[in-house]
Amino acid sequence: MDGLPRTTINVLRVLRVFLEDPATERYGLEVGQAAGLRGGSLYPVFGRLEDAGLLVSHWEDTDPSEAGRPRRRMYRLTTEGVAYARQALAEAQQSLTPSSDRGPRLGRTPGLPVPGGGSA
Amino acid sequence: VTAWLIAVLTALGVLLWGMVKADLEDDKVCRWLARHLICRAASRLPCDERARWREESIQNAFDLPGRLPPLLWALDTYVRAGRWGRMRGAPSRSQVLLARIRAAWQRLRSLPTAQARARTQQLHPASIQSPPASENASTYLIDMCRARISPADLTPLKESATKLAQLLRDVEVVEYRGHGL
Repeated sequence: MDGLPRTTINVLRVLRVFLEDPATERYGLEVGQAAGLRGGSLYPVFGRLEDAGLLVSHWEDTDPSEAGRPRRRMYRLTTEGVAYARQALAEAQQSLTPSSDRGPRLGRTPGLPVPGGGSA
Repeated sequence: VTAWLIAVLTALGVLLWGMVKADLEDDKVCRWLARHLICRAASRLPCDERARWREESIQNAFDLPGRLPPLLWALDTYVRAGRWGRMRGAPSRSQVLLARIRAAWQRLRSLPTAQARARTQQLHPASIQSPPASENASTYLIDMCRARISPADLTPLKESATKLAQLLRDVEVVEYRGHGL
């Protein structure tokens, strides 16, 4: 494992798609369409997650002439990947939700009473 | 003049747009362009990863229905390929250009040295592969005779030349002996 990747929006989008059903193998276009990403953004994310050991991939084991299409590269989250994805998404969710004890961040001026009692 | 220029440029633009539009309406052209863009994008990646990503990108692009979506997928891959390549450890275009310029400069700087080395090798007695003096003399004589005399009269001259060559060879042998060789 090369170390955990930087958690960008694109990484979170891809992880969310995989977390819908972690056991299912998906191919690039499928993930891209579900995450709303195109090739230029999608493949670097795959590369980073693979380097970190969070994602594994292999070429589809089908005969292209029988399938009538080229073989696909299939991706699946590893066990560490599933744990990392859950944690990263939870952290992202938490950072987006304002906590109740801090009060609203906007409009908070020193000297003014903080909602919930006390003084700032 | 300005009006004429605008008219000509507009006409050229319309013509070019017509050509491009006709090309983009052709499925084969779109596929060729998409494949070409993806190959160019893959060439920005490290060598050992190119084949895998190229195959995958082409497969994904051609899985998209329609004519333009594969092209847009390929275009997006191509546009972001530089950043992707740098992320994977490949040098950027500017780095490659800089390295080429530096190499050319080094070659240019070492050119006089290389020339001097070649000249030295050429002038070194060990590298001189000239034929013996006797052969030179006989060839010269024969050439002279061919130039001035008809072929029928050449036989006695050839004999003389052979004799002269023999004589010169003997002289060389004597010279070698004189030098203790």
